[in-house]
Amino acid sequence: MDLLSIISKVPVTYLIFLVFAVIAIAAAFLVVSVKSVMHAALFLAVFLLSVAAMFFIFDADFLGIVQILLYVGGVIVLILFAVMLTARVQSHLLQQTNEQKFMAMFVCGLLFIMLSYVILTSGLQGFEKSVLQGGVTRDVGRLLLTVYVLPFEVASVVLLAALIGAMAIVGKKDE
Amino acid sequence: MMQGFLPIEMLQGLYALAPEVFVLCLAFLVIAADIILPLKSKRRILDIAALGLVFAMLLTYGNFYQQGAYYFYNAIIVDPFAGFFKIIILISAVFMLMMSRDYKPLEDNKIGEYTSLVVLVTLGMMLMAGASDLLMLFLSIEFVSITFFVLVGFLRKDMKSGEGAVKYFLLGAFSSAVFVYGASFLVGITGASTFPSIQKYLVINGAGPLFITGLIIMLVGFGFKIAMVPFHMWAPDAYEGAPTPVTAFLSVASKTAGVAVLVRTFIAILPENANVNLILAILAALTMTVGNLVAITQNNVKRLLAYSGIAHVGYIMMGFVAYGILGVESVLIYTLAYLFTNMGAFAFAVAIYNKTGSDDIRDYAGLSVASPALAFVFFIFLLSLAGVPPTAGFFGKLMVLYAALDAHYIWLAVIGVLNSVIALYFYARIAYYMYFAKEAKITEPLKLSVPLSIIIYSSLFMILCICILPEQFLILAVRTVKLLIGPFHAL
Repeated sequence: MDLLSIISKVPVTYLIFLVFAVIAIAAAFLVVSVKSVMHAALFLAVFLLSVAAMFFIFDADFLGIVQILLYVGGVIVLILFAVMLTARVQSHLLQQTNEQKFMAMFVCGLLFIMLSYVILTSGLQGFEKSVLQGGVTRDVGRLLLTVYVLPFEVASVVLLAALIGAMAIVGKKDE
Repeated sequence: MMQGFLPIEMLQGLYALAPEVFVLCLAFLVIAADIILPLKSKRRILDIAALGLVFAMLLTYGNFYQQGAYYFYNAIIVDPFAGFFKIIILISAVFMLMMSRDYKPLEDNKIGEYTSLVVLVTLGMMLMAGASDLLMLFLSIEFVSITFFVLVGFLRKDMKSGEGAVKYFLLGAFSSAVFVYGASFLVGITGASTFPSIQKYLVINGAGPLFITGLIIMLVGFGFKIAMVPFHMWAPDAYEGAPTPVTAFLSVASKTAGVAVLVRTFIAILPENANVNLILAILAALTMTVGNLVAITQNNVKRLLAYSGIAHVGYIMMGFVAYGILGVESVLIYTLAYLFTNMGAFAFAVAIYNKTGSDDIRDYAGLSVASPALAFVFFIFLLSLAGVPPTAGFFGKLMVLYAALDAHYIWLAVIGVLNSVIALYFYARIAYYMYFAKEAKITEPLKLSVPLSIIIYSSLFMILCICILPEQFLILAVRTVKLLIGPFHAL
């Protein structure tokens, strides 16, 4: 059997997933390896977008939209602003990696081999269908007010604490 | 089809979570009081919050009469085990607020924000103690980490405070990410995030290697919270830089809450046949040894207590490794002893700092001559830290060692005993400076303010009580543990 006939048997969703998975991993690798912080931030955007694409592929459109809105729209823009406003960070001279990078690569490689071994041998099976299939946004809303009502409310208290904390950190220095 | 909206269930849940709801309202009250009160009486806010938390303690007392029930769609559990840890957290919060009243580096115009953050972080830790859902667990851990990050860096004029806060923040964010990664394994395998559902899955399918892997990755997140050894790097800098009351709070309450979720997750989720205990035993031994060995060379009292706190975590883990009713019981007793001992020691650190403006133990010289009675009380706290009778620290260590021996972890118990000897050395060093140092740095008698003396004398009372009359505490611990393990064994 030649390669083409194998590919023709694989569902098209998986092929698209594979493409985005490769893009995501490549972008993630570039984030930690490119020299300029600016470029790293842009590659991070690529990574986050391909993760959003994966959410869309698996019918989690709400998650996909939130991913784009929050991470690409919010977090990346903030990071880019922070980079542009900090002269020292923007320069290409700043070293991104430290002297322990080989050690880190070794540990990560070991972890990768171990995890992939465990995952491949465990016979993990996916769920029958995506939990969020169908009228997704409606279900998310309903879940937030029933099953996840406590975490939802606690999240709002966390935001309150973060707000007070931000006030305490950036407030006027002397009075 | 989805279940309908059932307000009566929510009301029951809110009723069961009365202490948490009350603490949240208290946080709002504190913010309101900050707006109303004039600058010169801002320190009153600390009193309001402390009184409120004492009331919350009374509300939490009701938890001891519950058999253990899940609320809010299994997101949270109310049982004596959670109640025990909530009370410890509340006691340390009250002590911490009282300690802050006399802590000079804290500016008056910042008291409002400071107090509301303390009340909110107390709420977060109470939720941690009761969390029975991985999502809830993550949220409450994040809640506590974010709020503590601000509290550690609260002294903005102090570079060390900022350094500690940044280290705590970066490592905290990293360990949270690792924790979520581990939790995602569990959710992926079991298809559920609540503890009861995960338990049901385990009863049917057992814990596979992937499940154990996920759990071990989650351990990193817990390890950071309780400053377990490979993840303890942030602790000394954060402890040294933070305002001393925050250091005391961080070292007692935050660790206690971390121990609570560790015990709950590992004992409530994990079946006994899974062999994670050896890893935990090795980590416990490492934690004890590294904490104690590094503590020897410390001269700053806050750093010293940070490293000794790491060593104490090792002892707590030793009881935890022993598993079973006796093991958890020893964890509870040790935590209780640790609470009062550490709070008392930090109250002394604040009192002496207010006098001399220094945290160096060499500046404790002459304390025994200037105020012999107080020096002797401090000496008793040091004995309790080192685990010498007749103090709570001794009884806690005895319980933990007994639990380890009972579970046939003889090598671990031997390491524990050897570590006690090392610990004795550096606590005795403080006593040496107090009693025998030639040049007296403290010449006038130390005067304790009312809040500080309440903390010190009530802690002293409890320390002696736990060792001399241990029956009551043992009965409490046994009851708490039986109701924790009960539901799991019945499954």
